[in-house]
Amino acid sequence: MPTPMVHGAADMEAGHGMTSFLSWLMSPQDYMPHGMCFLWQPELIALHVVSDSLIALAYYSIPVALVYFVLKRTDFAFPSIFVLTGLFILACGTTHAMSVWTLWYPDYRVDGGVKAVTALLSIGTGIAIWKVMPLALTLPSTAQLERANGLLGAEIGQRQRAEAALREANAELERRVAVRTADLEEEVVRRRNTEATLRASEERWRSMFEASAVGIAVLDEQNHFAATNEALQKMVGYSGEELQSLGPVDITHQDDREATQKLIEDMRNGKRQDLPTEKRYRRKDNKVIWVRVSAARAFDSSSSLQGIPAIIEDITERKSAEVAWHDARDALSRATRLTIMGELSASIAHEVNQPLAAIITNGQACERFLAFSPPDLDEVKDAVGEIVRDGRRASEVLKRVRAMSKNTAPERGQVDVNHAIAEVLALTRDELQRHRVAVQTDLRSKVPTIMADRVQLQQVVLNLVMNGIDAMRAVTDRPRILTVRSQLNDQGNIVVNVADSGVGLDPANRDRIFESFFTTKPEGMGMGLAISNTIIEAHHGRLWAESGSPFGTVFGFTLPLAAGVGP
Amino acid sequence: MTVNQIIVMIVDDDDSIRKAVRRLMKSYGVAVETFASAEEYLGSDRLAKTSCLILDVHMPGMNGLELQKRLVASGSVVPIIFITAFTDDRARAQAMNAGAAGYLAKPFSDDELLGCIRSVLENAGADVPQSAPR
Repeated sequence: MPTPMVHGAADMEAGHGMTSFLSWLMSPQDYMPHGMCFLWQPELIALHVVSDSLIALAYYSIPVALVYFVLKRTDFAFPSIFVLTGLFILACGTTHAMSVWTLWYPDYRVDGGVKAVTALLSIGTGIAIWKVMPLALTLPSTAQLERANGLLGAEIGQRQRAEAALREANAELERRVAVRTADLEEEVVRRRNTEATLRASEERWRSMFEASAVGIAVLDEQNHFAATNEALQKMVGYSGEELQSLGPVDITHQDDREATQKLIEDMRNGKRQDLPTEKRYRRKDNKVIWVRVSAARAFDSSSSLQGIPAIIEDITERKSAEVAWHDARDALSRATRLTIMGELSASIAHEVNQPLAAIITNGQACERFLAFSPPDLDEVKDAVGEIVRDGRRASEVLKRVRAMSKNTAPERGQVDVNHAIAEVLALTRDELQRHRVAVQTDLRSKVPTIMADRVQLQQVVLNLVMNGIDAMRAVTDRPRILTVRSQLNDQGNIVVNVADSGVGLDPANRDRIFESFFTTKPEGMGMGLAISNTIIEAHHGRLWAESGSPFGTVFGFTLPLAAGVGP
Repeated sequence: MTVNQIIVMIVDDDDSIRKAVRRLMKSYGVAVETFASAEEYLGSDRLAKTSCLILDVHMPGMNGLELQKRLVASGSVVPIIFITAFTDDRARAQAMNAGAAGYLAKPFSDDELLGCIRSVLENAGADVPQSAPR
């Protein structure tokens, strides 16, 4: 450091203003150049010049680098420190530049000013650096940053994987949504179709309801006609509105009301599933018509449909035809019965003659015993007892004959089937005997009485007995046995069998024997079995024939205990 | 009295007829034995004791005509009077041809039956009751 020597008086005066200080600073000075101190030795001069110049250049390059750095790293944390440091180094460089300058030009005042500025800047920089230090210390190191970076990288990787999974899930969801959407669209189409079908169906049913030739009605909860079609309104002569305040019972013939009421109740409480019934209605004009009512099961309470739907047909014509047919059948049945009775007349005469002969003989014996003296009253008493008994016996026979021959309409009542059979066997006793036919009976006492037409049932049994006798006419090589059985089967039907030991059925004829006018007998009419079949059917039973074992034929018929009401 | 030697046999399946005829015969003092079937009569030991046979035509099992045939075939000469409640000319002809003494339709009168029995027994040389005995 060149030491200022006492050369030239420094006109420096304290207390002058800044302006005067600057002018003092810049004013020409009369000092010696610093080179003088080196005695202008070129080596020494050169050494100082080169060293100070290099230092100055080095110092100047640093702020340039700092400025460049700050400009490039805009994110840098402490730019002011850099600026301050740059200025401080710039100032340091200038002091060295001034050292070179003062070798030749003795501007020691400027040189001192530059140093003062440098001193101020270096102090400020020192203070600023210490101030920033705590903050600078918190800055993460590169290793820390790398670690953080690594963690971040891992996190990012994880997140990316999660995102990929999410994307995949999303895609899956979208796919499902697409499928479901397609399904829904299909469903919508289907529903639309179903709706269209339903609408078409509804229209179809409605038109059937309205245009139907048979009466259709729906009963509401109060058993009123909630809905009726035109056919029913015409049938009963009431309007639809009138029918809404009427029920089936109201328009039913008084004799059928009780049964109708019961049927409806049974339908309501589920005792009956359907209700096919034939009965009479009384029209508004008081005319009686026959109807067949078919009511379906009542809708259950869970159904949105309520009430009982019913179909009502006017069967008045059919009924009158039926009545005519029944009359004809009854007439034919009677005719057939009388024919058989005619065949039986000789046997019947025998049955009456037997007791009559005994009566007459007893009577004549009485005359003789009374003519005794004294009269043999004991004998007379015995004889009279027998006369009475035989008289009753003859009367019984006639009663049976009369019952079978009378020309009255069929009558139903409680019939003891076994008793009815026994009467027929009594009536044919002689006929059987005459044809050498032994009768075996197996009439079960447990058979209950049934509602039936006794005479008609007896006609069937009579017919079967007479057929049995005929079938055994040609039998000479084995006993002629007619077996008559009655029993109750598992289905609660009375089963009656009449079996013979005759020639048996020709299988070819088996299906035809119940046809009218079919006969295998030369003098037969071919009506017996046909009529018998009709009679059993009218009793809701069944008549059949099968081959006996080992020979002969077995005829059988069933009679349901709970036979419905006949025509 | 030789009446006791006369025994009339009655074969009829009808209980009333048997009793009535027996009673009538009794009123005439004629001894009577009754059988309910041809088989019962054949099975008895009374064939040889029979003065006269009153025989029903229609009976279960062996009928009257068959019994007649059997008796004739066995050489019996017992007079037979048929009684029947069934008028059948063929049966009557068959019976008479086979040597029946009578063929009476039920109901018959006592005169008919008695007349028939009387002639039968007279033919046989027996003493015949004309009226009530005692």
